[in-house]
Amino acid sequence: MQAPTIENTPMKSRSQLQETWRRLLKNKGAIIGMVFLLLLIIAAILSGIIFDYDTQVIGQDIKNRLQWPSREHIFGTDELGRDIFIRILYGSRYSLAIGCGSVAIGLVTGVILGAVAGFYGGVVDQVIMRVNDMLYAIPNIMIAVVIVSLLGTSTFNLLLALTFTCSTSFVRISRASVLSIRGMEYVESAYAMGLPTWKVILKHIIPNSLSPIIVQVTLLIGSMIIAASSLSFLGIGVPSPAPEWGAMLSSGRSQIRNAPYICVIPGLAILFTVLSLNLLGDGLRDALDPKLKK
Amino acid sequence: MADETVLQVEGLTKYFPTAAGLLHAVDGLDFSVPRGKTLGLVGESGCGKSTTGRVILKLLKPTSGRIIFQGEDITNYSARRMRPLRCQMQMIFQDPFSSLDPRQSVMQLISEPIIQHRLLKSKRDIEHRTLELMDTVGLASRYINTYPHELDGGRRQRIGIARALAVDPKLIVCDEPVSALDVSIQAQILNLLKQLQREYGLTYLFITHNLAVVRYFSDEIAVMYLGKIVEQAPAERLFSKPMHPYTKALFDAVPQPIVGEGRVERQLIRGEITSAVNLPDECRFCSRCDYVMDACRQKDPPLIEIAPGHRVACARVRSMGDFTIEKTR
Amino acid sequence: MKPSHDDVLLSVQDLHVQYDTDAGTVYAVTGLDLEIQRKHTVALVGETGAGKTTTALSILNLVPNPPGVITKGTILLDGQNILEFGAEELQKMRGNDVAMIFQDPMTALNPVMTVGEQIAESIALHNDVSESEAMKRAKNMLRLVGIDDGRAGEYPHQFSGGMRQRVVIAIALACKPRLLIADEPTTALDVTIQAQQLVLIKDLITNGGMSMLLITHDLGVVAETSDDVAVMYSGRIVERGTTAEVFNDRLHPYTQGLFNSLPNLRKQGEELQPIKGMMPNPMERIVGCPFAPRCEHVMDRCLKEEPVLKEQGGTHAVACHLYDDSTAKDGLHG
Repeated sequence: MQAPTIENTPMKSRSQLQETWRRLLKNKGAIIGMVFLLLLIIAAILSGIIFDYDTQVIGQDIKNRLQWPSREHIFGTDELGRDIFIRILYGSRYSLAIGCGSVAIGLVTGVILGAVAGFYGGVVDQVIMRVNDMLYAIPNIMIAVVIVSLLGTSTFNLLLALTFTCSTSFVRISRASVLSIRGMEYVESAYAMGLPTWKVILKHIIPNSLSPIIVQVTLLIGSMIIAASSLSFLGIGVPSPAPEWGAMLSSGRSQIRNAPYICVIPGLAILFTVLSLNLLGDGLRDALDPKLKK
Repeated sequence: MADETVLQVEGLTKYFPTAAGLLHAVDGLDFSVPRGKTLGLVGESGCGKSTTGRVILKLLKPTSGRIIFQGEDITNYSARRMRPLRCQMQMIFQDPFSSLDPRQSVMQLISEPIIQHRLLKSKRDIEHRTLELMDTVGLASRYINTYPHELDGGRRQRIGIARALAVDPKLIVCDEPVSALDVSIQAQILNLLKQLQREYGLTYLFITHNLAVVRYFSDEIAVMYLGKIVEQAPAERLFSKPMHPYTKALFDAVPQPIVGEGRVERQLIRGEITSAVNLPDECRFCSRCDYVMDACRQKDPPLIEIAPGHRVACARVRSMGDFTIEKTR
Repeated sequence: MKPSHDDVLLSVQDLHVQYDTDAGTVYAVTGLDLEIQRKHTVALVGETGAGKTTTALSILNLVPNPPGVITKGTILLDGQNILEFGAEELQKMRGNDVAMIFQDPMTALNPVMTVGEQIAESIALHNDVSESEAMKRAKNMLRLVGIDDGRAGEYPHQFSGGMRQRVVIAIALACKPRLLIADEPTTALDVTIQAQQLVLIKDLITNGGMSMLLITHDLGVVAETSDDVAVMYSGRIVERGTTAEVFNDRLHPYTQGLFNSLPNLRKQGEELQPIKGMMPNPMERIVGCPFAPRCEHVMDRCLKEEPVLKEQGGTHAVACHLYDDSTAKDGLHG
């Protein structure tokens, strides 16, 4: 009746998660990205413990202003004599917090709305998607300017402004993903098994629509870091004297002729962080693609 | 007890609104399936056979008609009221690649219905039952922790069968269960389904486009065309005395693996199945029929019993008895 | 009776194709020999994963690379080895000498071009003709496949599935290729349409004096259309001969198993006799006969030594140790 069962030892077997991880580790770009991000996260955590905010991060030291990178100050000092290396490390806290925070809130709200729209369809879908389209059509800088001018400049308001942008793109992606999964036979099979709707959504639809969303998370964190820096650069983001990378870049503008490193270093910090996130995102996209199996 | 009817369907219809008009996917079906028997539902794609299976399991809401399952009229049951009944009616799907959740292991897949219906409580019992089911469908126990993507089509289909069996059903709707499989695997699965029917007294509604499979498998066969049954008869009779021109055309369309002696010349029909949108009141097959006459275009012929258990919907086949119908073009 | 050298249109010798993937090397075709005579239709029969499609793609030198590599072998079309062709020669050959019909008629057509334009495009590519002349020939082709030439200006979505497949056939045959490769040309279609298409293809091939390599898993289709048949298993040919030879005198246990697995339309079947087990994993190098683990007649020798195709009279050849003279008795009776 059955194929030869020579060995009855259970087969070695990988879940999709393990399989994805294995394939991700084969991607050099993704590994470089992950290593850089890991270092950044460690820096963000440690910098809060090691450095004293009032004296080392924002404390001014006019005597030592505008010093080029040296052994003592490896990234040099800025126009107020603050050590740029310390400020860059400390600034990673803002970038990561704003990037992850806005994406996290956007993720939860966007995925729920998108999943509802995709699953129920009809009028619900129409209402959610048209409102979403309207928000999508407004440039995110404009939304941010409106929110910040209404509520005032603060890190939290900046986060709120960015959440809108994230949310709209998650609504679109999760809706498309749910729509395609909803038509699969295994969803029908779950109904035929007698599973109630909420269980079908929770157990079968959401876990299977996650792949494109995970990829989008990594890519969006990158864009949100850029957006936060741009807003800070324009003076409507993280208020000074906090060492946000965009704000640091902005404050160095006046000295760009004699001390270009003040601008270049935060710029590079933004560049490498976003690049790492994109490398990781691309790696994840490939690793999660079922077509590349085997 | 032997003649007890498990499933009875009366005047079942399912219409879908489309941009072009109302699609008559299923248009007035009547049939019943006795316990332990198999009714084969045959037809080309678009004839409404899969929709029929899904309406009977209430995965789709019927437009009108009645579905009576073991004497209970379930036509208007809500999803909640259907839930306990799901233990008794199950489905085996066509595509073993898309009908299993890729994120679940074999253990999770097979135990899902057991856990959902609280058939067993303790973890050990559930695992024990899962292994038992795997043995029943011929899946070696070493596959218990594997995932569907690691298995071939035949083994995946065995998982689908084990899932359906897990709740100890009375009726199983098999929607093209072997059409996605290779011939040698196909035969393994067909044998398994037949053996399970003998062992557990299962009743099957067997939906397929493959005439050879349906003949091997069914006690009774209904041929569908554009949402209607055009001919229904006990399997042997349908194959020995097909009356409807469409049934004959279907038989002739299947290429036979015979060379030389025993080879039969085939008669092919023209045209293609049209869509069941906005149908005029005429025989649905008349545009492709070689035996068409005026009466065919005036009224859609009803299903008439021409011999015990043999029903035909054709204007040229009017009453009991044997006919030879002649070509008109 | 061996066909004389001039009668052979295509000759594939000792073809090896492998796919180098992340998970390891897949040996898709391993030592395949195949001959197609002029004006003959040869069916390549086998199950999923037997290497049928890879063989077809090799003949057009279209094996996707990476991951696919043709590691060994020659493919002679009229005596010329196409594996040594340059890009330009290959392009000239494809469509002009060898054309292919793929499995899915729904995705083979460009949705934004009219069917007339699509046929004309293929004609203009290989012939030095004016646009209007190409369109005239395209309309001719449409008539030939049974479509009213007034529909040349319509788009693929305006055609039904069967009609689209006819258009695909028209495109493939527009340049009168010498060899048509049809990869499961009717699998995606309904039975009644399937039958119509087979008759159409067969007629066009016969009238045009073309050869065809028909890839299918359906033994009924083979009986209907083919002169010769080659049964493929695990990347190699295990039995070949004229269709009558193979169908009426099945030698290889795999061929026998395939026929026994089929439910019979003409009589209600007893228990089917499926072949037990599965095809071997193509990632493993096989020692001995690839069918040995599933074979009822397996002998010690089968596990050690790979059988080669040996002629058994006529053109009928089989790769099985049962038919080695010295061991024939043991195998069949013991």
